[in-house]
Amino acid sequence: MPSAQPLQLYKAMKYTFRKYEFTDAASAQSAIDALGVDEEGNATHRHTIAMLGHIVTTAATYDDDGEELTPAVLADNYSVDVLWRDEIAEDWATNIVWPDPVGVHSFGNSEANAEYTATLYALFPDRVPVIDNDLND
Amino acid sequence: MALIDKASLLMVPSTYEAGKLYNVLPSGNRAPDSTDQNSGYDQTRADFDFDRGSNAAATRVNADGLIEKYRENKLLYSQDYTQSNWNKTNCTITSNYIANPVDGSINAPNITIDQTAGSYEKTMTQQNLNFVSGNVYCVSVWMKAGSVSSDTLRILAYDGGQVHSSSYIYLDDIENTPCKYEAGDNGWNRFYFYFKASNTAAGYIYIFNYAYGQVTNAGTNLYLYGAQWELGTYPTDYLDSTSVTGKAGVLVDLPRINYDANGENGALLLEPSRANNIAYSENITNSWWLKSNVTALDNQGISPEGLNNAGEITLTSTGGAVLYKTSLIIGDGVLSFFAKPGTLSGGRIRVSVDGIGAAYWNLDGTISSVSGGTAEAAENYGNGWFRYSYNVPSGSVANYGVQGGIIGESMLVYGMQVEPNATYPSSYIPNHGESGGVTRAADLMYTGPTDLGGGSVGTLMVEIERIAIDTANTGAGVQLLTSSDNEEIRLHFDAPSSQVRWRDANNGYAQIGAALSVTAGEFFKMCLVSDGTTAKSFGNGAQLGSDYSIVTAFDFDKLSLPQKAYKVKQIYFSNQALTDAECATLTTL
Repeated sequence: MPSAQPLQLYKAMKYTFRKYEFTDAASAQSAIDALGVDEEGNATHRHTIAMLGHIVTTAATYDDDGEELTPAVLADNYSVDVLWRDEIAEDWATNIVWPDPVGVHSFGNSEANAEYTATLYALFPDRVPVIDNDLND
Repeated sequence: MALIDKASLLMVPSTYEAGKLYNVLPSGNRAPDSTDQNSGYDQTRADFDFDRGSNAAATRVNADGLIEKYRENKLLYSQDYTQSNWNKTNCTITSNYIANPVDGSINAPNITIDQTAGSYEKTMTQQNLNFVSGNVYCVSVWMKAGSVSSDTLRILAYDGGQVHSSSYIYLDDIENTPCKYEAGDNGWNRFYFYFKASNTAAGYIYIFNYAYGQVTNAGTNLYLYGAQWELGTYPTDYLDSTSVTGKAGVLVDLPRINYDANGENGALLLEPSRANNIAYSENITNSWWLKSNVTALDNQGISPEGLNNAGEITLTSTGGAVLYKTSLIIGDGVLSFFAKPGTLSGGRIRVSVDGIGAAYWNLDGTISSVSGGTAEAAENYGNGWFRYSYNVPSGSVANYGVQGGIIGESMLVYGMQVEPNATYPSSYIPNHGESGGVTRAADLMYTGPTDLGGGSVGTLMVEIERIAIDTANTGAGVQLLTSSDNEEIRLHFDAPSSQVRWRDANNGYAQIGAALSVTAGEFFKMCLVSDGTTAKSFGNGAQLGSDYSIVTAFDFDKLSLPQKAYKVKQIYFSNQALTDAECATLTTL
């Protein structure tokens, strides 16, 4: 995947939904703090940030009694979702990732989710879903 | 002079639209009139701006006492089937043929089947629709019998890899039709089904379908109205769509005026960002949920939303009978859910976390016992519904259900929620299939940069309620700022001490007057008055502490209500320093 995206894709909406991966929680927190915090540790920006952590890539399996058969497999990288308000921090571009819409988490913003999907397909045309017309009833 | 005549800014949560909360003052500001022409509207004066970057993740209790969500009909031209968005196969549309089932307008079309029985599919689809794997969708459409032979009629969805089908629709034998429906008038019925998408792909919605080889004859007909495709397990009120999707309810940037369950005490609801890590908060038959000593069904009763989308659990054991989920991120968080226990004759409502503890409630909502965390009496949502919440320090396995109940008895449930990093439950956050959770963005409200007019003389009164007293909600609750956003004065929220106080940001956050003790869930009034040299604090009708000598002159340009958990009934600002008697009157509850 490309490490940086054209900026014009970033500024069409008041809210923009993007996904990022960091090597660990500390580096994610460092990037978040760089967006601005006051002396009490409160954010001074208006972005919404969700630290998803090491997301499940393969779900655990269970028997009929609910006992775990195989444990969940977690991603190596630390995931962070951001709902940017107005401006996107350009230095986050090196950590951007583009999972299929809309990954495992969203901010419940239908317009931002749609923009994420449209931008993903504009950047990666080979990932645009192809309708299978061979519908078998 | 009346106090309202001295006000330069006054807000009560009565009129609002997306992105704005209208002032009562400054004079002339008000919502657009019924003609939407803004007659009398002073365009030079700004109203409050409002931010919340979430729609589908935000809810409120509306004036009917019901939980209200964001709703969206994802189909385009939901009623105009002549549009090219609709692909018609072996059928012909005659528009504006009969009265529709919603408002009686003559705009429901007639659908005539063009091909006879045999190897012809007869269907109408909308294509290139984006499905998301794991999401739960509901498709609904009004149908009325014409002359079709309808025993093989269905509604379908194709998610790009899998076909999802309703049960058959017997238009000429409604009482025995297997497909779920809502009965209407004049022969109309609203048929629906829901499904979980298996693919993230482009697909189709079929609002009616006779598949290859299925029976009906050329020249036969049926009537359709109001196709709808939306998230969830049950159809909401029909939303008309055009070239854009139909939207209603809690929109992005729409201030939430939240009411009590009885529809009273409307106040502006402001909450910090929160997540719900329950992937299927309303879909208990989903295999995502594990079941212990219960059977589960969806759409079995009227939920706190006012729809027939409450789930039902039936007890199969006298022990712990629960829906549960493992491998959740709970952290230091809160579990909550809604239940209607009136159908139980025994047992206690249970919310628990494996390895941590449990909270139990009696069937009347009073707390029975708590271990490993904290819980209070259930919140009454009316119509027999309660919301139960349990705060735990850690854990990963959540359980919702009944302890010690009677085998065979059932209870309605709705809106399961796990909010990590929280000490109290926030408003309900629907999640229809996002395994990593859904996050509701915070609410923010603020005036324009110079709306207060500047200067160091002024009076600010707020009537607010702290939703909870917790360490995540400390700091500035209400702020007076300069035009460049430098903080001048704040109403400071303390925790764990349950108090609020005015503080001077120009003087090391020195306290102005004394603090007011408050109770979570109860409204209070706080007033700050400055004549340029002296500031005073008033709370609930009396001066708090002594006069405060101002060190650095204030510059009151802007008001801001940042990310905290509270409700606002009114805000009053005057560019005058009101008298002590007026401040006492203004803050008297």
